[in-house]
Amino acid sequence: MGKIYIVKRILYTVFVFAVVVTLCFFIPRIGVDDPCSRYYPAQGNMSDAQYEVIKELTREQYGLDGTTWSQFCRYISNLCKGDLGTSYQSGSPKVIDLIFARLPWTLVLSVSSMLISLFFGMLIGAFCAWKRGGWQDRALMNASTITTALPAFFLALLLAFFLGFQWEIFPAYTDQNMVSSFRWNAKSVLNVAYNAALPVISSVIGGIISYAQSTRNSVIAVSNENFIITAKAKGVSNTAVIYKHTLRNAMLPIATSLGMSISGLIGGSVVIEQIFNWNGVGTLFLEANNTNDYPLMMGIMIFLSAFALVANLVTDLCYSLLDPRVTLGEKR
Amino acid sequence: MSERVLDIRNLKVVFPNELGIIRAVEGIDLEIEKGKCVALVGESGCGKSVTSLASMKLLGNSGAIVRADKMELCGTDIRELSDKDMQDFRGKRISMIFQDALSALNPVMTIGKQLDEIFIRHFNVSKKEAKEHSIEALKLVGVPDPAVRYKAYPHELSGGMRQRVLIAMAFACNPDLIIADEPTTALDVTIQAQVLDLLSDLQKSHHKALLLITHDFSVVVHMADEICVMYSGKIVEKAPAKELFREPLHPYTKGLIGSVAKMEDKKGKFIQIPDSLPNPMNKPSGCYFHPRCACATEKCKTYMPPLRTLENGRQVRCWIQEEAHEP
Repeated sequence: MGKIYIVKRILYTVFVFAVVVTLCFFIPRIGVDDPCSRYYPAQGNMSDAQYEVIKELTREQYGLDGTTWSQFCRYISNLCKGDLGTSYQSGSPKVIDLIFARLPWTLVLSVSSMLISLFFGMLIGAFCAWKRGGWQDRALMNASTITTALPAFFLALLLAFFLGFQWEIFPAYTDQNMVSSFRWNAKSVLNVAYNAALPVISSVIGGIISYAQSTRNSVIAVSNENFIITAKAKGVSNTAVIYKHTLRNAMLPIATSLGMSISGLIGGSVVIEQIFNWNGVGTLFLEANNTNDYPLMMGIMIFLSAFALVANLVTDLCYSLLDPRVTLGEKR
Repeated sequence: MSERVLDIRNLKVVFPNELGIIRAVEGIDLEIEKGKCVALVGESGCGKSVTSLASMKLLGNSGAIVRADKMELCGTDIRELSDKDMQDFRGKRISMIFQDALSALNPVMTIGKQLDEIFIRHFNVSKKEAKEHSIEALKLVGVPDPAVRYKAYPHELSGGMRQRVLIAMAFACNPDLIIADEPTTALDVTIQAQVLDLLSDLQKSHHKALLLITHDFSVVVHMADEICVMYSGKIVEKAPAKELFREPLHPYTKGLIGSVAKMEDKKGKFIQIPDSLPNPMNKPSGCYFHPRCACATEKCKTYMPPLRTLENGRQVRCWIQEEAHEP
């Protein structure tokens, strides 16, 4: 049964991906009769025949020749070969190369934010669950109200203003030479950390609080369970009860929210990247948007959704390892 | 030679909260001798479970205040024992069987690992030896294929099997006292009988003291040597099991026994006790049972009757019995 479920789940993921690709392909084409006349509006001193030739050349160059359907088929067959097309940027770089050039920089931000949020969130959450009802617990509750109401970009702007411009502790704008001058040495790594400080802090504050809140809630919920009393009645020491029984069970909801945040690792920080001018995938997407670079936009969207889908698939399959009650698709 | 395994005098448990004080247990005495089975019977919410948790000192962080004149477990005063010392007692000298076996077992741990924990904790054995002990313990309670079941998770077992696992845990370290808190409530009637037989056999063959907590008189008929009937935090009647069934003295006991279906009953009707337990925050004056009692008098409404010992050693808390036996 388990294997059948996994195959089904993979097929479903492929289906969703196909839907995403189709939408990404057709939505930009809605309402655009002829993209070429948009790129090259007719010039006054040009005959119609000349203009047609120019448009035809443009179509060929950008892969817009033939019917929409044949374009779609060509796009899909290229996609199957791992080719996301060619960007309209000068020099006609491959979309996939542009994405992979930016990807590590986005991951630097998002992975470090996620790990920091998870670590401190769980630490604080477990502590607050232990001090249930104390001032630490109430402080966490209030903090979570504030951070839920306060969007991360607003926090980012405040941090950029105070820590960046007023007190000049961290750079409010990423050093534009950081990427080009990066070498694997301590100085470069420190420079990256220094530049990443503000973006990471602004996304980590909300993350820590939300992980802390869910850890606290699930630890409290689990410690009221009957099996905790059973464990105590067996004479198991308090530390063993906490580590072997409470935390293991309290981890389950946290694993769920971790899985969801993994799927948002690449696409989740578009706004933060933009505020701090961080050269990541998010900024690339906005650039593509502003310059009507359709292949690049489509490529990024497809890449993001593929990543999210794979992350979801992996989390789902891993969940049954954490919780034996979750059987892979077995009906009971 | 009789040896008292559990000796509790005047146990009181209260739960203070914002709205008032919940008096869960109001001064009960309980003693159990080695090899005996004592049943604590009463409706849900009368303080049975709190009594059992208090005697294992497991009410630690529930906000309960526990007071007793005497609380001795196997001759050791446990009132002043620290939680760390108490951990050595729990599982080894006193153990507990809980009612809902599914929620009483850790869902993400195999039952084998949960059994191992006891042996590793109390016998200081290696994991491998613990596994042997655990499989032995599962065999003892009649779990088929114990070596296979050892690797099972709680949700993979049937209700009866889960309850057997809990019993295996309780008997694992051969404790002196076993508290069974409604061990069969969550089970089918046929499985109930099997589990009760198992519990009774193990208790008799190992010569253990058993405190059986239940709301169901039919469960205790064949198992208990002595029965304590509890009502709203107080013991209202205490008698040897057979005598209690032959001649219940307290009106509440009469009601409880009357509400059990009997084969020879021709009337085709159950006797019901009207109404339900009083709110533990706002108990009635006088005898707590008087609002539901058919024979309540004016005296019952104002004064709480004492728990009186009769000539034959039985104890009952009722003004009517008091007057009947007055010289």
